[in-house]
Amino acid sequence: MPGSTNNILPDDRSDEDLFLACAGDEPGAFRLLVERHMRLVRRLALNVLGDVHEAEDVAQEVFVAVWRARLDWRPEARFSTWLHRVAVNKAIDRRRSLRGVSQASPEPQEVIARLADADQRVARPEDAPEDAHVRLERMESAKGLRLALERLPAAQNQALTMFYFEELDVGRIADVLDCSEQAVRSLLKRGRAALKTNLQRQKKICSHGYRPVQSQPRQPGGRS
Amino acid sequence: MDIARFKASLASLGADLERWPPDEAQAAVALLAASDEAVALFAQASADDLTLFGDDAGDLDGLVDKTLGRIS
Repeated sequence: MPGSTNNILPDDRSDEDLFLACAGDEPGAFRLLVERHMRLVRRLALNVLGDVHEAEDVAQEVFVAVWRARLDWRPEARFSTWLHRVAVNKAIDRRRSLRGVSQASPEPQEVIARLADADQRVARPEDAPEDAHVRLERMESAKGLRLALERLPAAQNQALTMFYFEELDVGRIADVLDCSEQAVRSLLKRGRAALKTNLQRQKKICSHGYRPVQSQPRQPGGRS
Repeated sequence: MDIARFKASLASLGADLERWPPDEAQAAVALLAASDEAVALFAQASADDLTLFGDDAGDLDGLVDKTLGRIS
Protein backbone atom coordinates (compact mmCIF):
# COMPACT_ATOMS: atom_id res chain seq x y z
CA MET A 1 0.00 0.00 0.00
CA PRO A 2 1.42 3.43 -0.86
CA GLY A 3 2.73 5.37 2.07
CA SER A 4 2.41 2.49 4.49
CA THR A 5 6.05 2.73 5.50
CA ASN A 6 7.89 5.51 7.24
CA ASN A 7 10.49 6.02 4.52
CA ILE A 8 11.78 9.58 4.48
CA LEU A 9 11.86 10.86 0.92
CA PRO A 10 13.19 14.23 -0.14
CA ASP A 11 10.36 16.66 -0.85
CA ASP A 12 12.24 18.46 -3.59
CA ARG A 13 12.08 15.69 -6.18
CA SER A 14 10.01 16.51 -9.24
CA ASP A 15 6.51 15.12 -9.64
CA GLU A 16 7.72 13.11 -12.59
CA ASP A 17 10.53 11.48 -10.59
CA LEU A 18 8.15 10.66 -7.77
CA PHE A 19 5.58 9.14 -10.10
CA LEU A 20 8.20 7.05 -11.84
CA ALA A 21 9.29 5.88 -8.41
CA CYS A 22 5.70 4.77 -7.76
CA ALA A 23 6.01 2.36 -10.66
CA GLY A 24 9.15 0.99 -9.06
CA ASP A 25 9.42 -0.33 -5.58
CA GLU A 26 9.34 2.85 -3.55
CA PRO A 27 6.60 3.00 -0.95
CA GLY A 28 5.78 6.52 0.14
CA ALA A 29 6.38 8.24 -3.20
CA PHE A 30 2.69 8.25 -4.07
CA ARG A 31 1.72 9.63 -0.67
CA LEU A 32 4.02 12.58 -1.32
CA LEU A 33 2.37 13.20 -4.67
CA VAL A 34 -1.12 13.02 -3.19
CA GLU A 35 -0.15 15.38 -0.38
CA ARG A 36 1.43 17.78 -2.86
CA HIS A 37 -1.55 17.93 -5.23
CA MET A 38 -4.67 17.09 -3.20
CA ARG A 39 -5.62 20.69 -2.41
CA LEU A 40 -5.63 21.85 -6.02
CA VAL A 41 -7.26 18.68 -7.35
CA ARG A 42 -10.01 19.03 -4.75
CA ARG A 43 -10.45 22.70 -5.69
CA LEU A 44 -10.60 21.92 -9.42
CA ALA A 45 -13.38 19.41 -8.78
CA LEU A 46 -15.16 21.83 -6.47
CA ASN A 47 -14.99 24.60 -9.05
CA VAL A 48 -16.70 22.35 -11.59
CA LEU A 49 -19.18 20.68 -9.24
CA GLY A 50 -19.97 23.30 -6.59
CA ASP A 51 -20.44 20.60 -3.95
CA VAL A 52 -17.78 19.71 -1.37
CA HIS A 53 -18.94 16.15 -0.79
CA GLU A 54 -18.97 15.33 -4.52
CA ALA A 55 -15.69 17.16 -5.07
CA GLU A 56 -13.89 15.18 -2.38
CA ASP A 57 -15.24 11.93 -3.77
CA VAL A 58 -14.05 12.90 -7.25
CA ALA A 59 -10.64 13.93 -5.87
CA GLN A 60 -10.23 10.44 -4.42
CA GLU A 61 -11.25 8.87 -7.73
CA VAL A 62 -8.69 11.00 -9.56
CA PHE A 63 -5.80 9.72 -7.49
CA VAL A 64 -7.03 6.13 -7.66
CA ALA A 65 -7.12 6.42 -11.47
CA VAL A 66 -3.66 7.98 -11.51
CA TRP A 67 -2.30 5.20 -9.30
CA ARG A 68 -3.73 2.55 -11.61
CA ALA A 69 -2.10 4.19 -14.62
CA ARG A 70 1.37 4.43 -13.04
CA LEU A 71 2.88 1.46 -14.89
CA ASP A 72 1.86 2.80 -18.31
CA TRP A 73 2.72 6.45 -17.73
CA ARG A 74 5.61 7.98 -19.68
CA PRO A 75 7.07 11.38 -18.80
CA GLU A 76 6.30 12.93 -22.19
CA ALA A 77 4.40 15.80 -20.59
CA ARG A 78 4.38 17.28 -17.11
CA PHE A 79 2.74 15.09 -14.49
CA SER A 80 0.62 18.02 -13.26
CA THR A 81 -0.71 18.75 -16.77
CA TRP A 82 -1.94 15.18 -17.02
CA LEU A 83 -3.25 15.15 -13.44
CA HIS A 84 -5.30 18.32 -14.01
CA ARG A 85 -6.78 16.86 -17.19
CA VAL A 86 -7.80 13.70 -15.33
CA ALA A 87 -9.32 15.80 -12.54
CA VAL A 88 -11.31 18.03 -14.88
CA ASN A 89 -12.57 15.08 -16.93
CA LYS A 90 -13.77 13.21 -13.85
CA ALA A 91 -15.42 16.33 -12.44
CA ILE A 92 -17.20 17.01 -15.73
CA ASP A 93 -18.40 13.40 -15.91
CA ARG A 94 -19.75 13.68 -12.36
CA ARG A 95 -21.37 17.02 -13.10
CA ARG A 96 -23.14 15.63 -16.15
CA SER A 97 -24.25 12.58 -14.23
CA LEU A 98 -25.59 14.72 -11.38
CA ARG A 99 -27.35 17.19 -13.67
CA GLY A 100 -29.02 14.24 -15.39
CA VAL A 101 -30.13 12.79 -12.07
CA SER A 102 -31.36 16.13 -10.78
CA GLN A 103 -33.90 16.36 -13.59
CA ALA A 104 -35.96 13.86 -11.65
CA SER A 105 -37.07 14.34 -8.07
CA PRO A 106 -35.03 12.30 -5.61
CA GLU A 107 -36.74 9.37 -3.95
CA PRO A 108 -37.70 10.03 -0.32
CA GLN A 109 -35.33 7.25 0.82
CA GLU A 110 -32.49 8.97 -1.03
CA VAL A 111 -33.20 12.25 0.72
CA ILE A 112 -33.22 10.50 4.11
CA ALA A 113 -29.95 8.72 3.28
CA ARG A 114 -28.29 12.00 2.29
CA LEU A 115 -29.43 13.68 5.51
CA ALA A 116 -28.17 10.75 7.58
CA ASP A 117 -24.85 10.87 5.74
CA ALA A 118 -24.58 14.60 6.41
CA ASP A 119 -25.26 14.02 10.11
CA GLN A 120 -22.57 11.35 10.25
CA ARG A 121 -20.08 13.66 8.57
CA VAL A 122 -20.82 16.36 11.13
CA ALA A 123 -20.22 13.89 13.94
CA ARG A 124 -16.98 12.38 12.58
CA PRO A 125 -13.81 13.04 14.56
CA GLU A 126 -12.03 14.25 11.40
CA ASP A 127 -14.40 17.22 11.41
CA ALA A 128 -13.33 18.16 14.93
CA PRO A 129 -12.24 21.77 15.53
CA GLU A 130 -9.01 22.55 13.76
CA ASP A 131 -5.71 22.83 15.59
CA ALA A 132 -4.67 26.13 17.08
CA HIS A 133 -1.78 26.55 14.64
CA VAL A 134 -4.11 26.03 11.67
CA ARG A 135 -6.51 28.63 13.10
CA LEU A 136 -3.62 31.03 13.62
CA GLU A 137 -2.39 30.47 10.08
CA ARG A 138 -5.85 31.21 8.71
CA MET A 139 -6.13 34.34 10.82
CA GLU A 140 -2.77 35.52 9.50
CA SER A 141 -3.87 34.81 5.93
CA ALA A 142 -7.13 36.69 6.49
CA LYS A 143 -5.21 39.62 7.93
CA GLY A 144 -2.87 39.64 4.93
CA LEU A 145 -5.82 39.53 2.56
CA ARG A 146 -7.55 42.40 4.37
CA LEU A 147 -4.38 44.51 4.20
CA ALA A 148 -3.95 43.75 0.51
CA LEU A 149 -7.60 44.66 -0.18
CA GLU A 150 -7.22 47.94 1.68
CA ARG A 151 -4.34 48.92 -0.60
CA LEU A 152 -6.52 48.60 -3.70
CA PRO A 153 -8.37 51.54 -5.26
CA ALA A 154 -11.75 51.88 -3.57
CA ALA A 155 -13.86 50.69 -6.51
CA GLN A 156 -11.76 47.53 -6.97
CA ASN A 157 -11.90 46.83 -3.24
CA GLN A 158 -15.70 47.24 -3.26
CA ALA A 159 -16.20 45.05 -6.33
CA LEU A 160 -13.98 42.24 -4.98
CA THR A 161 -15.59 42.41 -1.53
CA MET A 162 -19.09 42.24 -2.96
CA PHE A 163 -18.26 39.42 -5.40
CA TYR A 164 -16.09 37.17 -3.25
CA PHE A 165 -17.25 37.85 0.30
CA GLU A 166 -20.85 38.99 -0.04
CA GLU A 167 -21.37 36.68 -3.02
CA LEU A 168 -23.33 39.20 -5.08
CA ASP A 169 -23.47 38.48 -8.79
CA VAL A 170 -22.03 40.82 -11.38
CA GLY A 171 -25.43 42.30 -12.30
CA ARG A 172 -26.21 43.18 -8.69
CA ILE A 173 -22.76 44.74 -8.18
CA ALA A 174 -23.32 46.81 -11.32
CA ASP A 175 -26.57 48.09 -9.79
CA VAL A 176 -24.88 48.95 -6.50
CA LEU A 177 -21.94 50.69 -8.13
CA ASP A 178 -24.16 52.26 -10.79
CA CYS A 179 -22.05 51.05 -13.71
CA SER A 180 -22.23 48.47 -16.47
CA GLU A 181 -21.61 44.74 -15.95
CA GLN A 182 -18.60 45.04 -18.24
CA ALA A 183 -17.19 47.74 -15.96
CA VAL A 184 -17.67 45.44 -12.95
CA ARG A 185 -15.83 42.62 -14.74
CA SER A 186 -13.02 45.02 -15.51
CA LEU A 187 -12.82 46.12 -11.86
CA LEU A 188 -12.74 42.48 -10.72
CA LYS A 189 -10.04 41.61 -13.25
CA ARG A 190 -7.79 44.52 -12.28
CA GLY A 191 -8.52 43.99 -8.60
CA ARG A 192 -7.58 40.29 -8.72
CA ALA A 193 -4.36 41.09 -10.57
CA ALA A 194 -3.39 43.82 -8.10
CA LEU A 195 -4.33 41.64 -5.14
CA LYS A 196 -2.14 38.85 -6.44
CA THR A 197 0.81 41.22 -6.79
CA ASN A 198 0.24 42.67 -3.30
CA LEU A 199 -0.01 39.26 -1.65
CA GLN A 200 3.07 37.95 -3.46
CA ARG A 201 4.98 41.04 -2.30
CA GLN A 202 3.82 40.53 1.31
CA LYS A 203 4.78 36.86 1.18
CA LYS A 204 8.21 37.66 -0.24
CA ILE A 205 8.90 40.30 2.38
CA CYS A 206 7.71 38.11 5.25
CA SER A 207 9.74 35.13 4.01
CA HIS A 208 12.85 37.30 4.16
CA GLY A 209 12.11 38.24 7.74
CA TYR A 210 11.49 41.90 7.10
CA ARG A 211 8.63 43.85 8.54
CA PRO A 212 5.59 44.06 6.25
CA VAL A 213 5.40 47.21 4.20
CA GLN A 214 2.97 49.75 5.59
CA SER A 215 -0.04 50.63 3.46
CA GLN A 216 0.58 53.43 1.04
CA PRO A 217 -1.90 56.28 1.37
CA ARG A 218 -4.44 56.14 -1.40
CA GLN A 219 -4.26 58.94 -3.96
CA PRO A 220 -7.18 61.31 -3.38
CA GLY A 221 -9.63 60.87 -6.19
CA GLY A 222 -7.46 58.14 -7.69
CA ARG A 223 -9.12 56.11 -10.41
CA SER A 224 -9.55 52.40 -10.19
CA MET B 1 -17.07 30.08 -25.99
CA ASP B 2 -13.53 30.49 -27.25
CA ILE B 3 -10.28 30.52 -25.28
CA ALA B 4 -10.02 34.31 -25.24
CA ARG B 5 -13.49 34.70 -23.74
CA PHE B 6 -12.80 31.92 -21.23
CA LYS B 7 -9.54 33.56 -20.19
CA ALA B 8 -11.26 36.93 -19.74
CA SER B 9 -14.00 35.40 -17.59
CA LEU B 10 -11.46 33.57 -15.42
CA ALA B 11 -9.54 36.81 -14.94
CA SER B 12 -12.60 38.66 -13.69
CA LEU B 13 -14.82 36.01 -12.08
CA GLY B 14 -12.27 33.48 -10.84
CA ALA B 15 -12.47 29.73 -11.38
CA ASP B 16 -15.56 28.87 -9.33
CA LEU B 17 -18.07 28.13 -12.08
CA GLU B 18 -20.94 28.37 -9.60
CA ARG B 19 -20.30 32.12 -9.53
CA TRP B 20 -20.51 32.46 -13.31
CA PRO B 21 -23.76 33.14 -15.15
CA PRO B 22 -25.23 29.64 -15.79
CA ASP B 23 -25.07 29.73 -19.59
CA GLU B 24 -21.48 30.97 -19.46
CA ALA B 25 -20.56 28.21 -16.98
CA GLN B 26 -22.12 25.59 -19.23
CA ALA B 27 -20.15 26.86 -22.21
CA ALA B 28 -16.99 26.82 -20.09
CA VAL B 29 -17.56 23.17 -19.15
CA ALA B 30 -17.91 22.27 -22.83
CA LEU B 31 -14.67 24.08 -23.60
CA LEU B 32 -12.87 22.39 -20.70
CA ALA B 33 -13.91 18.99 -22.00
CA ALA B 34 -12.36 19.74 -25.39
CA SER B 35 -9.34 21.94 -24.78
CA ASP B 36 -6.11 21.22 -22.90
CA GLU B 37 -5.27 24.91 -23.01
CA ALA B 38 -8.53 25.66 -21.21
CA VAL B 39 -7.69 23.09 -18.53
CA ALA B 40 -4.26 24.70 -18.01
CA LEU B 41 -5.85 28.15 -17.64
CA PHE B 42 -8.50 26.76 -15.30
CA ALA B 43 -5.87 25.08 -13.11
CA GLN B 44 -3.83 28.28 -12.94
CA ALA B 45 -6.89 30.35 -12.02
CA SER B 46 -7.90 27.79 -9.37
CA ALA B 47 -4.40 27.97 -7.88
CA ASP B 48 -4.62 31.77 -7.93
CA ASP B 49 -7.96 31.63 -6.08
CA LEU B 50 -6.32 29.48 -3.40
CA THR B 51 -3.46 31.96 -3.10
CA LEU B 52 -5.69 35.03 -3.06
CA PHE B 53 -8.61 33.93 -0.93
CA GLY B 54 -7.31 30.90 0.92
CA ASP B 55 -9.07 27.59 1.39
CA ASP B 56 -11.66 26.85 4.02
CA ALA B 57 -11.02 23.12 3.65
CA GLY B 58 -8.42 23.21 6.42
CA ASP B 59 -6.23 20.18 6.96
CA LEU B 60 -6.61 17.60 4.18
CA ASP B 61 -4.74 14.76 5.94
CA GLY B 62 -8.01 12.85 6.43
CA LEU B 63 -8.83 13.05 2.74
CA VAL B 64 -5.29 12.00 1.80
CA ASP B 65 -5.49 8.99 4.14
CA LYS B 66 -8.93 8.02 2.83
CA THR B 67 -7.63 8.23 -0.75
CA LEU B 68 -4.59 6.09 -0.02
CA GLY B 69 -6.86 3.65 1.80
CA ARG B 70 -8.69 3.06 -1.49
CA ILE B 71 -5.43 1.97 -3.10
CA SER B 72 -4.52 -1.27 -1.50
